[in-house]
Amino acid sequence: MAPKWVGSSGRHGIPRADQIHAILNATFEAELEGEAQEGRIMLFIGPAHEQTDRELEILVNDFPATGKEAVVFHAMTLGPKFKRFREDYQP
Amino acid sequence: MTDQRKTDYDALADRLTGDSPLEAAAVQLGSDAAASGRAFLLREYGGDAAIRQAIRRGRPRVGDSTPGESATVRGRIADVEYRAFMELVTELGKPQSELIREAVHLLLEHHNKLAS
Repeated sequence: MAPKWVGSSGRHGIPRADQIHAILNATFEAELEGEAQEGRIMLFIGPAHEQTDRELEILVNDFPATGKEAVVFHAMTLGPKFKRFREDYQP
Repeated sequence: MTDQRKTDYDALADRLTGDSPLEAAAVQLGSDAAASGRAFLLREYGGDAAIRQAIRRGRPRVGDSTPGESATVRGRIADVEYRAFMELVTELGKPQSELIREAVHLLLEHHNKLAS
C-alpha cells in the first residue's frame, strides 16, 4: 500500500520525492483539531531535500488503524500561515 | 450510490491554507516529528525499501533510466541575470531545470568536454 496523492497536492509543483523527504525528515508535526471529516488531518513541516534549507508544508488525511490509505492533499513551500502556526507551538 | 462522506480535498486544502484559524490537538517537534513522519510512511509503504523506491520514482534520473537520484549542481547568479533568465523561462514556457541542463550542455560543448 502507499498513500494516495490527489490533484490538490500537485498545485504548487512540489515533486513527490520532495514531499516524501519532508515527511521523513519532519521537524514539526501537528494533528489539526476538528478539521477531518474522517480520520485525522496531519501537518508535516520538513526540508524538501538534503541539499536545501527550504521547508515544505504537507497536509495529509490519515486513517490510522483502519487499513485505509492516507491521502496527501497539499504540498507547498512553507508559507506564513504555517510558519506562525509552528511558532505558536514552539516551547 | 454517491458517497456522502467523500472529502473534497481541493476545498479542504483551500480552507486549511486560507484565513481560518487552526488549533493543534497534538504536536511533535524536532526528532520526535521525524520519528513520527517516518512511522507514518512505514505504516503506509510497509518498509524502508518501499519508501526509498517511492523517492526514486518521484525523482527520476535525468537522461537515462538508471535508478537513483541525478547529480545536482548549485550556484548563485546576479539579480540582473536572474531576471533575464526568468523572462526566458516565461518566453520559452520551459521549466528552469530544463533550461539549466541546456545551458550546462552548451557550456560543456563550448569547452569540448562532452564525450564524442
